Amino acid sequence: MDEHVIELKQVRKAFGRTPVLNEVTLSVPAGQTFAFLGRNGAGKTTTIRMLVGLIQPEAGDIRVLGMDPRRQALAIRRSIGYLAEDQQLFGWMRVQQTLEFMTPFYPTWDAALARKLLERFELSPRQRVKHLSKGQSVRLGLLLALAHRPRMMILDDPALGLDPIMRKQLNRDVIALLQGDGVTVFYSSHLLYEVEPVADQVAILDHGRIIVNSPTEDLRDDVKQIVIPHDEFDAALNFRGDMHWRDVQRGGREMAITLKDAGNAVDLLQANRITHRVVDLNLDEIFEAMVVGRPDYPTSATANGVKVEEAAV
Amino acid sequence: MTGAIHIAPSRWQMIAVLLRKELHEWWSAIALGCFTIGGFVAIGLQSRLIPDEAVLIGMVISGGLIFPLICAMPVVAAERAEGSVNLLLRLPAPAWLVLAVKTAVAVVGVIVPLLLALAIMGALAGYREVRPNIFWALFLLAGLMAVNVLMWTMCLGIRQPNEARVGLIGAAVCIGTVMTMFFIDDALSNEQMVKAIAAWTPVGLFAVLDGSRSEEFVSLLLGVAARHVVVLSLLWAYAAWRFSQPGRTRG
Repeated sequence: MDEHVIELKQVRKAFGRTPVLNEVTLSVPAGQTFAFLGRNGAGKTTTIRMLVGLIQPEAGDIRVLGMDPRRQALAIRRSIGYLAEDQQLFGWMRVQQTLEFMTPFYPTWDAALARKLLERFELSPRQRVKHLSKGQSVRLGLLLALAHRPRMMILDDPALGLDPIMRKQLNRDVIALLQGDGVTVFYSSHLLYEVEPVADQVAILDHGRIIVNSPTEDLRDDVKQIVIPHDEFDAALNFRGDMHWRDVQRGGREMAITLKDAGNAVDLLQANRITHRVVDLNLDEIFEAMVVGRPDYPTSATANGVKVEEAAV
Repeated sequence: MTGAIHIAPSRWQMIAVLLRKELHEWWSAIALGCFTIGGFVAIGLQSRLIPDEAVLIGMVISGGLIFPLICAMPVVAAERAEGSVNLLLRLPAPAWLVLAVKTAVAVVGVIVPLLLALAIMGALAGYREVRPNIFWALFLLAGLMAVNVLMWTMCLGIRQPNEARVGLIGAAVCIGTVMTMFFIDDALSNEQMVKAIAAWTPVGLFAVLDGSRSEEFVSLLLGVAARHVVVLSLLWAYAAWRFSQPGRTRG
Protein backbone atom coordinates (compact mmCIF):
# COMPACT_ATOMS: atom_id res chain seq x y z
CA MET A 1 0.00 0.00 0.00
CA ASP A 2 1.49 3.33 -1.06
CA GLU A 3 -0.30 5.72 1.23
CA HIS A 4 1.40 6.44 4.52
CA VAL A 5 -0.61 7.87 7.37
CA ILE A 6 2.43 8.68 9.50
CA GLU A 7 5.74 9.89 8.18
CA LEU A 8 8.69 10.99 10.25
CA LYS A 9 11.83 12.19 8.53
CA GLN A 10 15.04 12.65 10.50
CA VAL A 11 13.22 13.84 13.58
CA ARG A 12 15.30 15.02 16.50
CA LYS A 13 14.23 15.93 19.99
CA ALA A 14 16.09 16.59 23.23
CA PHE A 15 14.93 17.64 26.69
CA GLY A 16 17.60 20.05 27.79
CA ARG A 17 20.88 18.31 27.12
CA THR A 18 19.32 14.85 27.11
CA PRO A 19 18.73 13.60 23.58
CA VAL A 20 15.49 11.64 23.31
CA LEU A 21 15.06 11.09 19.58
CA ASN A 22 17.93 11.01 17.15
CA GLU A 23 17.28 11.24 13.40
CA VAL A 24 14.16 9.07 13.60
CA THR A 25 12.76 8.18 10.21
CA LEU A 26 9.61 6.11 10.05
CA SER A 27 6.58 5.60 7.89
CA VAL A 28 3.36 3.79 8.71
CA PRO A 29 1.28 2.41 5.83
CA ALA A 30 -2.46 3.05 5.87
CA GLY A 31 -4.72 0.33 7.16
CA GLN A 32 -2.05 -1.59 9.05
CA THR A 33 -1.46 -2.34 12.69
CA PHE A 34 1.95 -0.92 13.44
CA ALA A 35 3.73 -2.02 16.60
CA PHE A 36 6.03 0.65 17.95
CA LEU A 37 8.26 -1.05 20.47
CA GLY A 38 10.91 0.09 22.84
CA ARG A 39 12.04 -0.18 26.41
CA ASN A 40 10.86 2.28 29.02
CA GLY A 41 12.52 5.60 28.24
CA ALA A 42 13.29 4.71 24.62
CA GLY A 43 11.34 7.72 23.31
CA LYS A 44 7.99 6.13 22.35
CA THR A 45 5.74 8.52 24.24
CA THR A 46 7.80 11.51 23.09
CA THR A 47 7.30 10.38 19.49
CA ILE A 48 3.56 10.01 20.01
CA ARG A 49 3.28 13.42 21.66
CA MET A 50 4.95 14.91 18.62
CA LEU A 51 2.54 13.09 16.32
CA VAL A 52 -0.44 14.74 18.02
CA GLY A 53 1.25 18.15 18.25
CA LEU A 54 1.69 18.24 22.01
CA ILE A 55 5.42 18.84 21.69
CA GLN A 56 7.49 20.05 18.78
CA PRO A 57 10.54 18.39 17.23
CA GLU A 58 13.79 20.30 17.14
CA ALA A 59 14.52 19.15 13.61
CA GLY A 60 12.97 16.99 10.95
CA ASP A 61 9.60 16.71 9.34
CA ILE A 62 6.42 15.00 10.60
CA ARG A 63 3.25 14.27 8.67
CA VAL A 64 0.17 12.65 10.18
CA LEU A 65 -2.66 11.93 7.75
CA GLY A 66 -0.87 14.35 5.43
CA MET A 67 -1.00 17.14 8.02
CA ASP A 68 1.77 18.91 9.89
CA PRO A 69 1.29 18.55 13.68
CA ARG A 70 3.05 21.88 14.24
CA ARG A 71 0.36 23.76 12.34
CA GLN A 72 -2.62 21.43 12.24
CA ALA A 73 -2.52 19.72 15.62
CA LEU A 74 -6.22 20.24 16.32
CA ALA A 75 -7.27 18.86 12.92
CA ILE A 76 -5.07 15.82 13.54
CA ARG A 77 -6.56 15.28 17.00
CA ARG A 78 -10.07 15.47 15.52
CA SER A 79 -9.18 12.78 12.97
CA ILE A 80 -7.44 10.28 15.20
CA GLY A 81 -8.26 8.31 18.31
CA TYR A 82 -5.67 8.49 21.07
CA LEU A 83 -5.59 6.28 24.11
CA ALA A 84 -2.65 6.92 26.40
CA GLU A 85 -1.25 5.00 29.33
CA ASP A 86 -1.75 7.95 31.68
CA GLN A 87 -5.28 8.79 30.57
CA GLN A 88 -7.31 9.96 33.55
CA LEU A 89 -10.94 10.87 33.08
CA PHE A 90 -12.90 13.20 35.35
CA GLY A 91 -13.74 11.11 38.38
CA TRP A 92 -16.87 12.99 39.39
CA MET A 93 -18.53 12.57 36.00
CA ARG A 94 -20.82 9.71 35.18
CA VAL A 95 -20.02 7.67 32.08
CA GLN A 96 -22.87 9.37 30.19
CA GLN A 97 -21.64 12.83 31.24
CA THR A 98 -18.17 11.94 29.99
CA LEU A 99 -19.62 11.07 26.59
CA GLU A 100 -21.59 14.33 26.53
CA PHE A 101 -18.45 16.24 27.48
CA MET A 102 -16.46 14.78 24.59
CA THR A 103 -19.14 15.12 21.89
CA PRO A 104 -18.67 18.80 20.88
CA PHE A 105 -14.95 18.37 20.31
CA TYR A 106 -15.46 15.83 17.55
CA PRO A 107 -17.68 16.78 14.60
CA THR A 108 -17.81 13.15 13.50
CA TRP A 109 -18.94 11.86 16.91
CA ASP A 110 -21.32 8.94 16.40
CA ALA A 111 -23.74 8.72 19.34
CA ALA A 112 -25.20 5.43 18.06
CA LEU A 113 -21.74 3.88 17.92
CA ALA A 114 -20.99 5.19 21.42
CA ARG A 115 -24.17 3.50 22.73
CA LYS A 116 -23.24 0.28 20.94
CA LEU A 117 -19.77 0.32 22.45
CA LEU A 118 -21.18 1.03 25.90
CA GLU A 119 -23.15 -2.20 25.65
CA ARG A 120 -20.27 -4.12 24.18
CA PHE A 121 -17.91 -2.99 26.92
CA GLU A 122 -20.57 -3.58 29.58
CA LEU A 123 -20.36 -0.04 30.92
CA SER A 124 -23.29 1.53 32.69
CA PRO A 125 -23.99 5.13 31.60
CA ARG A 126 -24.98 6.01 35.16
CA GLN A 127 -21.81 4.76 36.79
CA ARG A 128 -19.38 7.34 38.12
CA VAL A 129 -15.97 7.28 36.48
CA LYS A 130 -14.21 7.19 39.86
CA HIS A 131 -16.04 3.94 40.64
CA LEU A 132 -14.87 2.17 37.48
CA SER A 133 -12.24 -0.53 37.75
CA LYS A 134 -8.93 -0.06 35.93
CA GLY A 135 -10.13 -2.33 33.14
CA GLN A 136 -13.44 -0.46 32.80
CA SER A 137 -11.59 2.88 32.72
CA VAL A 138 -9.38 1.68 29.89
CA ARG A 139 -12.45 0.45 28.03
CA LEU A 140 -14.16 3.79 28.50
CA GLY A 141 -11.00 5.46 27.19
CA LEU A 142 -11.09 3.13 24.19
CA LEU A 143 -14.76 3.97 23.63
CA LEU A 144 -13.99 7.71 23.70
CA ALA A 145 -11.17 7.20 21.23
CA LEU A 146 -13.37 5.17 18.88
CA ALA A 147 -16.74 6.91 18.98
CA HIS A 148 -15.80 9.65 16.53
CA ARG A 149 -14.80 7.05 13.95
CA PRO A 150 -11.13 7.97 13.70
CA ARG A 151 -9.06 7.29 10.60
CA MET A 152 -6.17 6.26 12.77
CA MET A 153 -5.83 5.02 16.31
CA ILE A 154 -2.82 5.68 18.52
CA LEU A 155 -2.52 3.37 21.50
CA ASP A 156 0.25 4.33 23.88
CA ASP A 157 0.73 1.39 26.23
CA PRO A 158 -3.00 1.38 26.99
CA ALA A 159 -2.91 -1.96 28.78
CA LEU A 160 -0.35 -0.85 31.33
CA GLY A 161 -1.53 -1.86 34.77
CA LEU A 162 -4.12 -4.35 33.54
CA ASP A 163 -3.98 -7.99 34.45
CA PRO A 164 -3.04 -10.45 31.67
CA ILE A 165 -6.65 -11.45 30.97
CA MET A 166 -7.80 -7.85 30.70
CA ARG A 167 -4.86 -7.11 28.40
CA LYS A 168 -5.86 -9.95 26.10
CA GLN A 169 -9.48 -8.77 26.13
CA LEU A 170 -8.41 -5.23 25.27
CA ASN A 171 -6.35 -6.47 22.35
CA ARG A 172 -9.26 -8.59 21.20
CA ASP A 173 -11.49 -5.51 21.30
CA VAL A 174 -8.97 -3.45 19.39
CA ILE A 175 -8.61 -6.13 16.73
CA ALA A 176 -12.34 -6.73 16.44
CA LEU A 177 -13.21 -3.05 16.23
CA LEU A 178 -10.41 -1.70 14.10
CA GLN A 179 -8.63 -4.30 12.05
CA GLY A 180 -10.20 -5.07 8.73
CA ASP A 181 -12.07 -1.79 8.89
CA GLY A 182 -9.35 0.23 7.22
CA VAL A 183 -8.28 1.99 10.40
CA THR A 184 -4.56 2.28 10.95
CA VAL A 185 -3.48 1.31 14.44
CA PHE A 186 -0.25 2.69 15.86
CA TYR A 187 0.33 0.51 18.90
CA SER A 188 3.13 1.51 21.22
CA SER A 189 4.14 -0.91 23.92
CA HIS A 190 7.00 -2.54 25.73
CA LEU A 191 4.95 -5.70 26.32
CA LEU A 192 5.76 -7.52 23.15
CA TYR A 193 3.66 -10.62 23.57
CA GLU A 194 0.74 -8.22 23.73
CA VAL A 195 1.27 -6.77 20.25
CA GLU A 196 2.78 -9.78 18.51
CA PRO A 197 -0.52 -11.39 17.50
CA VAL A 198 -1.95 -8.17 16.09
CA ALA A 199 0.99 -6.38 14.45
CA ASP A 200 1.45 -6.24 10.68
CA GLN A 201 4.63 -4.23 10.99
CA VAL A 202 7.13 -3.67 13.77
CA ALA A 203 9.50 -0.83 14.55
CA ILE A 204 11.89 -0.99 17.48
CA LEU A 205 13.10 2.22 19.03
CA ASP A 206 16.21 2.09 21.16
CA HIS A 207 17.94 5.08 22.73
CA GLY A 208 16.11 7.40 20.37
CA ARG A 209 16.98 5.51 17.19
CA ILE A 210 14.94 3.16 15.04
CA ILE A 211 16.92 -0.07 14.96
CA VAL A 212 14.29 -2.26 13.27
CA ASN A 213 11.44 -1.36 10.93
CA SER A 214 10.01 -4.30 9.09
CA PRO A 215 6.85 -6.37 8.51
CA THR A 216 6.39 -8.75 11.44
CA GLU A 217 6.65 -11.91 9.32
CA ASP A 218 9.78 -10.67 7.55
CA LEU A 219 11.33 -9.91 10.91
CA ARG A 220 10.57 -13.40 12.19
CA ASP A 221 12.07 -14.89 9.00
CA ASP A 222 15.08 -12.65 9.14
CA VAL A 223 16.05 -12.96 12.80
CA LYS A 224 16.65 -16.48 14.09
CA GLN A 225 18.69 -18.23 16.66
CA ILE A 226 21.32 -20.69 15.49
CA VAL A 227 22.52 -23.22 18.00
CA ILE A 228 25.98 -24.65 17.48
CA PRO A 229 27.71 -27.34 19.53
CA HIS A 230 30.37 -25.97 21.82
CA ASP A 231 33.26 -27.67 20.08
CA GLU A 232 32.30 -26.23 16.65
CA PHE A 233 31.87 -22.67 17.83
CA ASP A 234 35.47 -21.71 17.04
CA ALA A 235 34.90 -22.75 13.44
CA ALA A 236 31.79 -20.56 13.33
CA LEU A 237 33.76 -17.66 14.74
CA ASN A 238 35.78 -17.57 11.51
CA PHE A 239 32.65 -16.45 9.65
CA ARG A 240 31.54 -13.90 12.20
CA GLY A 241 32.41 -11.05 9.82
CA ASP A 242 30.03 -12.47 7.20
CA MET A 243 27.09 -12.85 9.58
CA HIS A 244 25.05 -10.21 11.40
CA TRP A 245 25.31 -11.43 14.98
CA ARG A 246 23.07 -9.71 17.49
CA ASP A 247 23.58 -11.83 20.56
CA VAL A 248 25.63 -14.79 21.71
CA GLN A 249 24.87 -16.89 24.74
CA ARG A 250 26.20 -20.10 26.15
CA GLY A 251 23.85 -22.77 27.32
CA GLY A 252 25.25 -26.05 28.56
CA ARG A 253 27.29 -27.65 25.79
CA GLU A 254 25.93 -25.38 23.08
CA MET A 255 26.34 -21.81 21.92
CA ALA A 256 23.26 -19.89 20.81
CA ILE A 257 23.76 -17.11 18.28
CA THR A 258 20.90 -14.77 17.50
CA LEU A 259 21.46 -13.14 14.13
CA LYS A 260 19.91 -11.13 11.35
CA ASP A 261 19.87 -12.32 7.77
CA ALA A 262 19.44 -15.86 9.04
CA GLY A 263 19.00 -17.41 5.57
CA ASN A 264 22.49 -16.42 4.45
CA ALA A 265 24.01 -17.48 7.75
CA VAL A 266 22.47 -20.95 7.44
CA ASP A 267 23.79 -21.26 3.89
CA LEU A 268 27.26 -20.29 5.11
CA LEU A 269 27.22 -22.81 7.95
CA GLN A 270 25.96 -25.59 5.68
CA ALA A 271 28.61 -24.84 3.06
CA ASN A 272 31.29 -25.16 5.74
CA ARG A 273 29.74 -28.28 7.28
CA ILE A 274 29.30 -26.72 10.70
CA THR A 275 26.68 -28.58 12.72
CA HIS A 276 23.80 -26.33 13.71
CA ARG A 277 20.09 -26.14 14.27
CA VAL A 278 17.79 -23.18 13.67
CA VAL A 279 15.37 -21.95 16.32
CA ASP A 280 12.45 -19.65 15.52
CA LEU A 281 12.13 -16.69 17.84
CA ASN A 282 9.14 -14.81 19.07
CA LEU A 283 9.01 -11.01 19.05
CA ASP A 284 10.04 -10.86 22.69
CA GLU A 285 13.27 -12.75 22.00
CA ILE A 286 13.98 -10.77 18.84
CA PHE A 287 13.45 -7.53 20.74
CA GLU A 288 15.76 -8.65 23.53
CA ALA A 289 18.51 -9.63 21.10
CA MET A 290 18.20 -6.36 19.20
CA VAL A 291 18.12 -4.11 22.22
CA VAL A 292 20.25 -5.76 24.88
CA GLY A 293 22.08 -8.40 22.87
CA ARG A 294 25.88 -8.71 23.18
CA PRO A 295 27.12 -9.77 19.75
CA ASP A 296 30.84 -9.43 20.59
CA TYR A 297 30.72 -11.88 23.43
CA PRO A 298 32.44 -14.28 23.81
CA THR A 299 35.42 -14.11 21.47
CA SER A 300 35.93 -17.84 21.86
CA ALA A 301 33.89 -20.66 23.33
CA THR A 302 36.99 -22.10 24.93
CA ALA A 303 38.37 -18.84 26.30
CA ASN A 304 39.54 -19.23 29.88
CA GLY A 305 38.87 -16.73 32.60
CA VAL A 306 35.89 -15.22 30.81
CA LYS A 307 32.66 -14.97 32.71
CA VAL A 308 30.20 -16.95 30.67
CA GLU A 309 26.51 -16.18 30.87
CA GLU A 310 24.41 -19.28 31.29
CA ALA A 311 21.17 -19.21 29.43
CA ALA A 312 18.49 -21.70 28.62
CA VAL A 313 18.67 -22.47 24.93
CA MET B 1 -14.52 3.60 9.95
CA THR B 2 -12.90 5.72 7.28
CA GLY B 3 -14.38 8.42 5.10
CA ALA B 4 -15.80 10.56 7.90
CA ILE B 5 -16.59 14.11 6.83
CA HIS B 6 -14.98 16.71 9.08
CA ILE B 7 -16.78 19.93 9.85
CA ALA B 8 -15.22 22.57 12.06
CA PRO B 9 -16.82 22.03 15.46
CA SER B 10 -18.58 24.92 17.12
CA ARG B 11 -16.27 26.66 19.54
CA TRP B 12 -19.31 27.77 21.52
CA GLN B 13 -20.34 24.19 22.14
CA MET B 14 -16.83 23.42 23.34
CA ILE B 15 -16.90 26.44 25.65
CA ALA B 16 -20.32 25.37 26.93
CA VAL B 17 -19.16 21.89 27.99
CA LEU B 18 -15.92 23.24 29.45
CA LEU B 19 -17.91 25.85 31.41
CA ARG B 20 -20.33 23.23 32.67
CA LYS B 21 -17.43 21.08 33.85
CA GLU B 22 -15.67 23.96 35.60
CA LEU B 23 -18.84 25.24 37.26
CA HIS B 24 -19.56 21.76 38.54
CA GLU B 25 -16.09 21.61 40.07
CA TRP B 26 -16.37 25.15 41.47
CA TRP B 27 -19.84 25.36 42.89
CA SER B 28 -18.90 24.05 46.31
CA ALA B 29 -15.98 26.52 46.59
CA ILE B 30 -18.25 29.40 45.58
CA ALA B 31 -20.88 28.29 48.07
CA LEU B 32 -18.30 28.04 50.82
CA GLY B 33 -16.95 31.51 49.97
CA CYS B 34 -20.44 32.98 50.04
CA PHE B 35 -21.18 31.28 53.34
CA THR B 36 -18.00 32.40 55.13
CA ILE B 37 -17.53 35.90 53.72
CA GLY B 38 -21.25 36.68 53.54
CA GLY B 39 -21.74 35.23 57.01
CA PHE B 40 -18.87 37.26 58.44
CA VAL B 41 -20.23 40.50 56.98
CA ALA B 42 -23.82 39.77 58.04
CA ILE B 43 -22.93 38.82 61.60
CA GLY B 44 -20.39 41.64 61.92
CA LEU B 45 -22.84 44.29 60.78
CA GLN B 46 -25.86 42.94 62.58
CA SER B 47 -24.17 42.36 65.92
CA ARG B 48 -22.47 45.80 65.89
CA LEU B 49 -19.65 44.45 68.01
CA ILE B 50 -17.09 46.13 65.76
CA PRO B 51 -17.34 49.27 63.59
CA ASP B 52 -18.68 48.85 60.04
CA GLU B 53 -15.32 49.93 58.61
CA ALA B 54 -13.60 47.12 60.50
CA VAL B 55 -16.11 44.67 59.03
CA LEU B 56 -15.30 46.03 55.58
CA ILE B 57 -11.54 45.68 56.14
CA GLY B 58 -12.11 42.13 57.39
CA MET B 59 -14.04 41.47 54.20
CA VAL B 60 -11.13 42.84 52.13
CA ILE B 61 -8.66 40.55 53.89
CA SER B 62 -10.81 37.43 53.80
CA GLY B 63 -12.44 37.95 50.38
CA GLY B 64 -9.62 39.78 48.66
CA LEU B 65 -6.64 37.86 49.98
CA ILE B 66 -7.26 34.58 51.79
CA PHE B 67 -10.20 33.19 49.80
CA PRO B 68 -8.65 33.87 46.34
CA LEU B 69 -5.36 32.38 47.49
CA ILE B 70 -7.17 29.18 48.47
CA CYS B 71 -9.21 29.22 45.27
CA ALA B 72 -6.16 29.63 43.02
CA MET B 73 -4.53 26.50 44.35
CA PRO B 74 -6.61 23.82 42.60
CA VAL B 75 -7.46 25.63 39.34
CA VAL B 76 -4.86 23.71 37.33
CA ALA B 77 -2.85 21.88 40.01
CA ALA B 78 -5.74 19.65 41.10
CA GLU B 79 -6.13 18.35 37.55
CA ARG B 80 -2.38 18.00 37.23
CA ALA B 81 -2.22 15.95 40.44
CA GLU B 82 -5.16 13.83 39.30
CA GLY B 83 -3.84 13.45 35.77
CA SER B 84 -7.00 14.67 34.05
CA VAL B 85 -5.15 17.73 32.71
CA ASN B 86 -3.63 15.41 30.08
CA LEU B 87 -7.10 14.64 28.77
CA LEU B 88 -7.85 18.37 28.48
CA LEU B 89 -4.59 19.06 26.68
CA ARG B 90 -5.19 16.22 24.21
CA LEU B 91 -8.63 17.44 23.22
CA PRO B 92 -8.96 18.97 19.78
CA ALA B 93 -9.34 22.38 21.39
CA PRO B 94 -6.68 25.04 21.90
CA ALA B 95 -5.03 24.86 25.30
CA TRP B 96 -5.51 28.60 25.75
CA LEU B 97 -9.27 28.14 25.39
CA VAL B 98 -9.30 25.51 28.14
CA LEU B 99 -7.28 27.81 30.40
CA ALA B 100 -9.44 30.81 29.51
CA VAL B 101 -12.57 28.97 30.65
CA LYS B 102 -10.83 27.87 33.83
CA THR B 103 -9.68 31.43 34.52
CA ALA B 104 -13.08 32.94 33.82
CA VAL B 105 -14.85 30.57 36.19
CA ALA B 106 -12.19 31.11 38.87
CA VAL B 107 -12.57 34.91 38.61
CA VAL B 108 -16.33 34.55 38.91
CA GLY B 109 -15.74 32.23 41.85
CA VAL B 110 -13.80 34.85 43.84
CA ILE B 111 -16.01 37.79 42.83
CA VAL B 112 -19.40 36.24 43.66
CA PRO B 113 -18.80 36.14 47.46
CA LEU B 114 -17.71 39.79 47.32
CA LEU B 115 -20.88 40.73 45.45
CA LEU B 116 -22.90 38.88 48.05
CA ALA B 117 -21.04 40.78 50.80
CA LEU B 118 -21.81 44.01 48.94
CA ALA B 119 -25.51 43.13 48.79
CA ILE B 120 -25.57 42.23 52.49
CA MET B 121 -23.74 45.44 53.39
CA GLY B 122 -26.22 47.46 51.33
CA ALA B 123 -29.21 45.73 52.86
CA LEU B 124 -28.07 45.76 56.49
CA ALA B 125 -25.96 48.88 56.92
CA GLY B 126 -25.56 50.97 53.79
CA TYR B 127 -23.51 54.07 54.49
CA ARG B 128 -24.55 54.30 58.14
CA GLU B 129 -20.98 54.54 59.48
CA VAL B 130 -18.88 54.56 56.33
CA ARG B 131 -18.75 57.34 53.77
CA PRO B 132 -19.79 56.25 50.23
CA ASN B 133 -16.34 56.79 48.66
CA ILE B 134 -14.66 54.67 51.34
CA PHE B 135 -17.40 52.06 51.05
CA TRP B 136 -16.92 51.71 47.29
CA ALA B 137 -13.14 52.01 47.49
CA LEU B 138 -12.94 49.09 49.93
CA PHE B 139 -15.10 46.91 47.71
CA LEU B 140 -13.07 47.92 44.66
CA LEU B 141 -9.90 47.20 46.61
CA ALA B 142 -11.20 43.76 47.61
CA GLY B 143 -12.16 42.94 44.04
CA LEU B 144 -8.84 44.11 42.62
CA MET B 145 -6.87 42.21 45.23
CA ALA B 146 -8.97 39.09 44.77
CA VAL B 147 -8.41 38.99 41.01
CA ASN B 148 -4.73 39.84 41.46
CA VAL B 149 -4.03 37.21 44.11
CA LEU B 150 -5.93 34.60 42.11
CA MET B 151 -4.18 35.38 38.84
CA TRP B 152 -0.66 35.78 40.23
CA THR B 153 -0.94 32.54 42.19
CA MET B 154 -2.56 30.56 39.40
CA CYS B 155 -0.27 31.86 36.64
CA LEU B 156 3.01 31.51 38.52
CA GLY B 157 2.00 28.09 39.80
CA ILE B 158 0.74 26.85 36.43
CA ARG B 159 3.36 24.08 36.16
CA GLN B 160 3.27 22.96 39.78
CA PRO B 161 2.31 19.33 40.28
CA ASN B 162 0.09 19.82 43.32
CA GLU B 163 -2.04 22.34 45.14
CA ALA B 164 0.27 22.73 48.14
CA ARG B 165 3.10 24.02 45.99
CA VAL B 166 0.80 26.48 44.24
CA GLY B 167 -0.32 27.69 47.66
CA LEU B 168 3.29 28.22 48.69
CA ILE B 169 3.91 30.27 45.55
CA GLY B 170 0.82 32.37 46.27
CA ALA B 171 1.89 32.94 49.87
CA ALA B 172 5.39 33.84 48.69
CA VAL B 173 3.95 36.39 46.26
CA CYS B 174 1.76 37.99 48.94
CA ILE B 175 4.38 38.01 51.72
CA GLY B 176 7.13 38.98 49.29
CA THR B 177 5.12 41.94 48.04
CA VAL B 178 4.40 43.23 51.52
CA MET B 179 8.00 42.77 52.65
CA THR B 180 9.26 44.51 49.54
CA MET B 181 6.90 47.43 50.17
CA PHE B 182 8.18 47.78 53.74
CA PHE B 183 11.76 47.59 52.56
CA ILE B 184 11.28 50.21 49.85
CA ASP B 185 9.40 52.43 52.27
CA ASP B 186 12.20 52.14 54.80
CA ALA B 187 15.06 52.47 52.32
CA LEU B 188 13.72 55.24 50.12
CA SER B 189 11.46 57.20 52.45
CA ASN B 190 9.80 58.40 49.26
CA GLU B 191 6.07 58.14 49.59
CA GLN B 192 5.34 58.83 45.93
CA MET B 193 7.71 56.12 44.76
CA VAL B 194 6.29 53.63 47.23
CA LYS B 195 2.81 54.35 45.92
CA ALA B 196 3.94 54.09 42.31
CA ILE B 197 5.47 50.66 42.95
CA ALA B 198 2.54 49.51 45.10
CA ALA B 199 0.18 50.26 42.24
CA TRP B 200 1.78 47.47 40.19
CA THR B 201 1.78 44.83 42.92
CA PRO B 202 -0.96 42.31 43.74
CA VAL B 203 -1.39 43.09 47.44
CA GLY B 204 0.34 46.42 47.98
CA LEU B 205 -2.78 48.33 47.07
CA PHE B 206 -3.40 49.62 50.60
CA ALA B 207 -0.30 51.75 50.15
CA VAL B 208 -1.89 53.45 47.14
CA LEU B 209 -4.65 54.80 49.36
CA ASP B 210 -2.38 55.68 52.26
CA GLY B 211 -2.16 59.43 52.72
CA SER B 212 -4.58 60.22 49.90
CA ARG B 213 -7.82 62.09 50.33
CA SER B 214 -10.72 59.69 50.60
CA GLU B 215 -12.50 61.50 47.76
CA GLU B 216 -9.74 60.29 45.44
CA PHE B 217 -9.86 56.64 46.53
CA VAL B 218 -12.15 55.29 43.83
CA SER B 219 -10.45 57.15 40.96
CA LEU B 220 -7.03 56.11 42.27
CA LEU B 221 -8.05 52.47 42.33
CA LEU B 222 -9.61 52.65 38.87
CA GLY B 223 -6.30 53.99 37.57
CA VAL B 224 -4.50 51.13 39.27
CA ALA B 225 -6.97 48.64 37.77
CA ALA B 226 -6.03 49.77 34.26
CA ARG B 227 -2.36 49.00 35.02
CA HIS B 228 -3.31 45.63 36.41
CA VAL B 229 -5.09 44.71 33.20
CA VAL B 230 -1.71 44.98 31.45
CA VAL B 231 0.21 43.04 34.13
CA LEU B 232 -2.39 40.29 34.41
CA SER B 233 -2.67 39.94 30.63
CA LEU B 234 1.08 39.34 30.41
CA LEU B 235 0.95 36.90 33.30
CA TRP B 236 -1.94 35.03 31.74
CA ALA B 237 -0.18 34.86 28.35
CA TYR B 238 2.80 33.28 30.12
CA ALA B 239 0.49 30.83 31.89
CA ALA B 240 -1.27 29.88 28.63
CA TRP B 241 2.09 29.20 26.99
CA ARG B 242 3.29 27.07 29.91
CA PHE B 243 -0.06 25.31 30.28
CA SER B 244 0.07 24.00 26.71
CA GLN B 245 3.43 22.34 27.27
CA PRO B 246 3.18 18.78 28.55
CA GLY B 247 5.68 17.59 31.11
CA ARG B 248 8.66 15.49 30.23
CA THR B 249 7.85 11.96 29.28
CA ARG B 250 9.36 8.86 30.73
CA GLY B 251 10.00 7.43 27.31
